[in-house]
Amino acid sequence: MPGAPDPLYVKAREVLLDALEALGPHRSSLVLVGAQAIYLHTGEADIAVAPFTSDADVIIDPGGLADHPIIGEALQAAGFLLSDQPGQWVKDDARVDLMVPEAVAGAGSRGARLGPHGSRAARKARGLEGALVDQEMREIVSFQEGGRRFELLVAGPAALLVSKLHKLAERIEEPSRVKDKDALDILRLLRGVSTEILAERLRALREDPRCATVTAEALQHLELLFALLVGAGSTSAARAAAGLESEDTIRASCVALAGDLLRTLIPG
Amino acid sequence: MRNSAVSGTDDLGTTLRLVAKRLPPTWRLETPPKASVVSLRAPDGTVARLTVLRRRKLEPKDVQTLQSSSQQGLKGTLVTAGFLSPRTRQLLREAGASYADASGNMRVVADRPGIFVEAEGAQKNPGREPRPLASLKGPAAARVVRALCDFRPPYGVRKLAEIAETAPASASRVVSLLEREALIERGPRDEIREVDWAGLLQRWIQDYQFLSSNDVTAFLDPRGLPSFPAKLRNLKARAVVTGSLAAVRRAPVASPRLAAVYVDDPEAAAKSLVLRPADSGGNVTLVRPLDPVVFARSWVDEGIKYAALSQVAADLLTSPGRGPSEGEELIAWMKKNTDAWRA
Repeated sequence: MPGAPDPLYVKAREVLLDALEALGPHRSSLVLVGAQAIYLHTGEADIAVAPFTSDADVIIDPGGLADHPIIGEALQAAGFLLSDQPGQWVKDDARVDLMVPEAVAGAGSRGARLGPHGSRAARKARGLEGALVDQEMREIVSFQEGGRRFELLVAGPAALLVSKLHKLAERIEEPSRVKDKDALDILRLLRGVSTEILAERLRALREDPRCATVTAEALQHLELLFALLVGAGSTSAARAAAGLESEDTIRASCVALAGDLLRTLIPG
Repeated sequence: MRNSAVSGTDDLGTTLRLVAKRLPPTWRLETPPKASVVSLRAPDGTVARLTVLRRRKLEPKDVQTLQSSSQQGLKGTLVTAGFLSPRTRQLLREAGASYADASGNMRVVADRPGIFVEAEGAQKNPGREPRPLASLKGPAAARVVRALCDFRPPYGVRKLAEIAETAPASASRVVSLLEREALIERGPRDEIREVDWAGLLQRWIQDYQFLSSNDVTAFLDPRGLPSFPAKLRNLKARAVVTGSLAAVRRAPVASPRLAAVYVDDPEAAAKSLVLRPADSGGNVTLVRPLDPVVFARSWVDEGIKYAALSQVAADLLTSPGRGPSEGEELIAWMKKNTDAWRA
């Protein structure tokens, strides 16, 4: 049995709750993505590597975003500081990243144009479009006893898979091992969610014009990175789990589950 | 010269030296090293060759087998063994064989060049003991060893056989072996009074090996071990978990990477458990056991059945990787908590 969550993870959750509290009425325009969303779907028992993360990734759906309160002001009032990157809000060494999927983020290069909220409150990001379609309402709960809880939209497993595949594909050539955690998160999703559910939701993503392209690209990444024992994604995941599960088991699991999913999606 | 010549060993060199001594002085016995043929060289330079059939032991009943295994019968062969009984020698003679044993019994016959040498050595096997059981291989030994570990004495051999569900004769042979090896103590009425169960496990694993004594097949559960117990809970067929996954419920061992499960039909179980065959990277092994005793005295924890700890310990001690050290950890726990597992 895994014990209490990692203290860093507990703090990351508190800082996320701070941001959700500060953003008040905007909460209905937010969707939780990233590792914290993944663990909500997969639980923490699927892979022996303790899941911990010190940041929270949240997207803004600009479609229904109200003009008030001003996002930057609300966050600063709650103790957040904007780093040198648009959308990167820091408090107590933990981070909340506010992002807008590229397909709905308007013009501009890095910052998302959010009308009265300006172009520094959130940044544009590619691959997150699926979270506008595949999402479900969940309760985000503090790990501390008697702590806060907020209802929030959370990206579904297919949207998370697509976004993680994009993130990994962008980084796969880099020597850094930061990407290994992304590869392991992808395996967490493949393991923790049934192939049927993933396939059904990925089909829905392929049919929505906002995310059809990124979804098709993500499936190509999946095949390239995970459908082979020597795939860069399988290798990266095996490295992340080294010492806890046999590398061969991780590689074989990647190939088996990626293969199952691809075969379900591409019949024949 | 070593005295093994009279102790019933199957030292071929000794046996052949005894033969050489008995040949007429003008004849020579030539034995190329490691060759399976010996040559008898006559004074005129002609040579008779005998094919050597070397046996550690040869019982009368084995002569028939020996004869039928060779197309030409036993003419032209020299059968050697540590000791050949009078009856065995008679049968070999009837089969036309030459023979020699390490006690000096011999008969060497060849037609061309012609030679006939016969001599008698010991009539009784000098090395003979009342045929003791030499190994704990096999299902009967497994049952008796497991029963001796799992149940505290005192009990008699008959009672032991009953608990172990073996024939009293099998139990008795195992008990004799263990008594010779000082792993059990008998009381005044011959009852088993004391069992050194930890020593017994160590002795058992000289002959029992998890991977080779059982029929082990590797499978992959691509969704990982943590989700495996839930599937196992729903399996209809009889199944007990052994190895690390069992040990971790009791002893302080690291989180397991491999599930090992005894089942009667691994193929059918793999299907029910949605496992796939694994060439490499297997994380679940399904094991058809040497004997159903692996299912005996299992215990249940959170809906999963686990093999008795004596079985788990022996399996770990003979498993690759971290297995042996986990086995030691488990045995240390078992020593501290005897009441928890030993009836």
